[in-house]
Amino acid sequence: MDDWEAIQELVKQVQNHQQWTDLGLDGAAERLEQAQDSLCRQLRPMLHKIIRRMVRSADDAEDILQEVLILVMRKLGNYDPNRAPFRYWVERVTIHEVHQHLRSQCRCREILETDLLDFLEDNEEQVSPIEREPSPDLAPDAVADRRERLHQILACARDSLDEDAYTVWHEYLINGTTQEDIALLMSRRVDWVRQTLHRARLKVAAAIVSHPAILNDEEIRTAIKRCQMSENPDDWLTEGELELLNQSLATHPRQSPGWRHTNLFRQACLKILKWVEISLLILYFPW
Amino acid sequence: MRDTGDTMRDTRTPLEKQLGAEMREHAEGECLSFEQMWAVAQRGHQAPDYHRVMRHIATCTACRRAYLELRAIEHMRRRESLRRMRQLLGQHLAWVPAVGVAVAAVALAWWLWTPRSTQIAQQSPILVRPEPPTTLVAPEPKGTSTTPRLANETPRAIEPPTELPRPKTPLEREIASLKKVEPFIREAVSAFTALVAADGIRSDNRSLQAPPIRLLMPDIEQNAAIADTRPTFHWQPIEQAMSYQLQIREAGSSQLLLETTLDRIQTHYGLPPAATLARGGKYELLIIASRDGEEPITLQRRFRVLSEDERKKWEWAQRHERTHPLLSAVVYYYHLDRYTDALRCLQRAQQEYPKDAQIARWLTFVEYRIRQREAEFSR
Repeated sequence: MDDWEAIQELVKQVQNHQQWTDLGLDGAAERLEQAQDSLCRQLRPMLHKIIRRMVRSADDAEDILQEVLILVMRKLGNYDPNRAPFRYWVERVTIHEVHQHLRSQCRCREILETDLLDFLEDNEEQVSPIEREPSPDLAPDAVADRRERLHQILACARDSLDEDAYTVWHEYLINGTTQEDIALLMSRRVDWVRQTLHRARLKVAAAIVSHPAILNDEEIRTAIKRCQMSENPDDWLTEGELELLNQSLATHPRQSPGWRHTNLFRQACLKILKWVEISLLILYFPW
Repeated sequence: MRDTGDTMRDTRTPLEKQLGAEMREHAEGECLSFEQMWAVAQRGHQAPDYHRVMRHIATCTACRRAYLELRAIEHMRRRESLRRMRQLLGQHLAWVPAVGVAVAAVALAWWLWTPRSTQIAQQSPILVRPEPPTTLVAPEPKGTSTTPRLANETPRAIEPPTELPRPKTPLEREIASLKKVEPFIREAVSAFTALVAADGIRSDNRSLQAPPIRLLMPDIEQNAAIADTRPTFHWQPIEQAMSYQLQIREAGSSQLLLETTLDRIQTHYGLPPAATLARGGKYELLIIASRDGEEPITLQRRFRVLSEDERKKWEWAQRHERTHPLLSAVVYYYHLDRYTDALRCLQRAQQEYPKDAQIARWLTFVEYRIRQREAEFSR
C-alpha cells in the first residue's frame, strides 16, 4: 500500500467517524479527532512537497500548508470517494490555495490565465468527471444510432490528424475556445493555432465527406442543395468546388481529387458540413 | 473567456458542436496528477504527456481549473524571479566594471609573470600535493615509508598536463556515480580529508594503554556512538573479581540513570525497558570490579546514542557500503563516530583498489583512531 492509498483509507475512517459523531455515538468525537490528527500527520509531508514545488519561500509554504490542512479538514465532508481519488481532490485544493495566496501577494495582476479561470467560474455547464453525477442512461435507439455515426466521424478525424492538430481541434470542438485562448492554453503562438485549426477542420471535413460509411450520397446531395440555397452568398459553393464534389460522388467508392485540387475539395467539404448536420437532424428528428 | 472581437463568436458548425458535445461526455483518460499538470505548466508542449493532458483538460473542469491555476502560479514565479534579478543587478551593477577590470588585471599579471619554460615543472608539485580539496590525498604520517606512493605518482606528475588524463580517484568516482550528493556526504568528505591531512604530524609510535576491563558488547570500546537504545553490556571477566557494579549516567552529570550490582559470574547486563536510552543522548558507563583485598578495577567510558537524524545517515551508509565504500566510510567516521564501520568499509575499498595510496592512508588513520578510542577508558 503506497502513501496515497494509506491516506485514502484514513479519509474513509475520518468520514465514518464524522458520521458517528453526527449521530452522537459515545466516544466518536475523540476517535474523530484522533483520525483527523493521523490524517494530518500523513498528509503534511505530501502536501508540503507539492507546495514547495510551487512556492519558493519556506515561510509562505508553511502558512499555505496550514491553511490547506484546515480547509481539507473542514471540507472533507464534501469529498465523494466515488467520483475521484482523494489525491486528486486534495491536490486541487492545494493548487487553488497556492494560487490564491500568490495572487494576493503578486504585484502584477495581468496574468492571462485568470481570464480563462474567470470564464470557467461563469460557465456552469462544464462539469468534470470529478464533479459529475453518473450519466443517465441514453436509451432511445435513434440517439444511439446518431451517436454511433458521431463516433465514426471522431474515429475518422483521429485517423486523419496528427497529435498536435487533433489536440487543437479537440479543444476547439468541445469548448468552442477562441484561437487566442487555445494558444494561451496550449503554450503556442496564435498564428500556429490559427493555421493548425484551419487545416484540421478542412482535413476532417474532407475525411467525413469521402467516407461512404458516414454519409451516403443522398445526404451529401441534400447538403449541397441546402448549401446553395443559403441566404449568405459566402456559403455558396463555387463552380469548381461543386464540380469536385460531383466528381467525388460519381466514383465508387468515393475518391478525393488529385493533389492539385485537394485544398479546393477540402474547402467545399467544409462548406457543406454545416448542412450535413441539418441533414442528420432531418433524418432522425423529422420536422 | 476574453472578448476578442470577431474571435468571440463561436465559429463551430452545428455538426462540430454535436461532435464536441459527444466528446465532452467521454473525458480522455483519468484525471491528472499534480506532477503531470506541473510538467506541462512548466515545459509546455515539450512535456512528455502534453497531448493527453491538453485533451483531458478540454473535458474536465476540475483539471482545467487546476492546470490554469498552475500556469498562473508559474507565471507569477517567473515574474518574481525576474523582478529579483533586476533588483540584484540594479544594486550591484556599479561593481561589475570594477570587478571586471580587477579580474582582467590579475589575469594579465599572472600571465606575464609566469615563466613559460618552467610552467610544466611548476605544475607537477600541484599534482602530488596532498591537499584534500584538489587531490584528496593527505600527507604521509611520520615514520611510514613514502617510497611506494612517490614511485607511483611522481612519473605522472612530471608529464605535461596535456598528456595527463587526470584520472579520478576512487572517491571522486564514487561521488560522480551518485545521482544526488546529499550535503552531509560532501561535508563528511571534506572534513574527513582535512582531518587526515592535519593528522600528518602525529606519531604512530605513541604508546596507548589498553583498558583494564575489555568491553565486548556494545562496541563502544572502539566507537563513540551506538545505534541501539537498549544495548546489552558484555565484558571479559576479571580474575579475582568478587562482584561487578555497573552504572550509567548522563555525560557531564552526576545523575545516575541506572546502578546495579552483579555477582562475579555475571559479566553481561541487558538494559531493562525502563532504562531505555534516549536517541541523541550522551552517557557514561562505569564498571567497577571489586576484588578481595585489592584495589577495585574501574572502567569508565563515554558513549552516545545516534539521534534520529544520525540514524538516517547510518542507514544511508549501510545501504551504500557495497556500492560506495569510501563515502560510507567517511560518513561513518565523521558524522557517526562509528570507526569500526568506517574501517570495514575502507578494507572493502582497499580490496577493490589495492594499490591506492589514499585508501591505505585512510586505513592507517582510522586504525589509529580506533586505538585512541580504546585508550579513552578513564575519561
